Amino acid sequence: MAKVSAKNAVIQITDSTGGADNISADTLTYDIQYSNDTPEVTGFGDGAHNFIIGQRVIAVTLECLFNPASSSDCYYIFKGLYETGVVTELIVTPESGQNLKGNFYLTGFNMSGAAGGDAIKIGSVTFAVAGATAPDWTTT
Amino acid sequence: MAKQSAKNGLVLIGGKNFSAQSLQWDANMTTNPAEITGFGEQSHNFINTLKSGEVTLNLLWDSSDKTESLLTTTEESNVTIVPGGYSLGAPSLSMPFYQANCDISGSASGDAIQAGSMKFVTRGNVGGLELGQVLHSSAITVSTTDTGVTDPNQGTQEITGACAGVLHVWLATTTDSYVVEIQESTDDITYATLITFTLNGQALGSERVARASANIEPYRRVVATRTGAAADSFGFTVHFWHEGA
Repeated sequence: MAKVSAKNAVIQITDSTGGADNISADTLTYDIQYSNDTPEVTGFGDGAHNFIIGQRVIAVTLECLFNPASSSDCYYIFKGLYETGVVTELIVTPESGQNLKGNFYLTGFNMSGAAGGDAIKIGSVTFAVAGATAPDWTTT
Repeated sequence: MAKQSAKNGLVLIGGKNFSAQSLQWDANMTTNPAEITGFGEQSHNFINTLKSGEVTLNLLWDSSDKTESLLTTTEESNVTIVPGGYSLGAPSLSMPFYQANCDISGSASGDAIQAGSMKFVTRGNVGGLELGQVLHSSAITVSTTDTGVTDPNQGTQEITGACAGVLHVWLATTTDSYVVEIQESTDDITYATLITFTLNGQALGSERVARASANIEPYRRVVATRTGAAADSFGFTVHFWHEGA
């Protein structure tokens, strides 16, 4: 495959009652932190700083628009997850067929509005991994 | 309601309407996640802990009993934001607060004086920002019974949990007084009192009344009952929040 525009990304999330919702149209950006801890193990006599692979680090941040139209739109989904603290299944699909899928807690978000009349935003919607099983890339 | 412009936002602080003085609002809420990663687990993982909330307003200076009053008092009060402006049942955010800091500035070139980025932090044992609904926001001159409303996440189910109502009196009466209640109902026909405020409309101010645990019926409405016959205007806003989704 070649380079691909981000415009067709799909963001799916389960709400606080377990219903699966698609909030792609409310989402402006996604950011997936997917990395490994790399503890340094350089010893005396080694030729260079060197490292080993440690624990995996995964987190997701969404920037969204405020949409309170219904319980399946992003405001009420985030509100429910924040208020109840239940685990959500989040699926981020940057490109069709390639998903990051896993269980997360919604750990916070930020709402903002400016008198100039821009759309109301729900930004920095942060998700941290819930449970011992790491979210992973899947293909569909 | 779909995606919305911020231009009609409503900002209330301690019974005063700061919408015209506000340039921008920011409401930040977090669950302060704690890491609980154990040996043998596949990735760093977390649990939610104590919620916290913070509101920051970018305000213009207005000495007519507005921004100045926020600087000269340390009284407990409430900040309530209706992001998309008032309509019955619209989402609203509220928080009892202490005003933590501000940064007043002016320049010789003549720009408007800025009350700056004013930060409000949570006061008391509450769950940070309370994400609820606005049940009333207008002025009345007679006893009024509003239309009942439910919220999308609760639907028509009864739930049990904590709840709180916040009343902002932003236009005080001259002689009449009012009793303001939030009532609840299972069927939008027969209502019972859930919360009664003590502010009677004769002075500006805000009040938060909480219930630690209640059976919360799906329909809520505001009832304001007048004592007196002067029919002078009483302007107020009511926010309601309940625990759970």
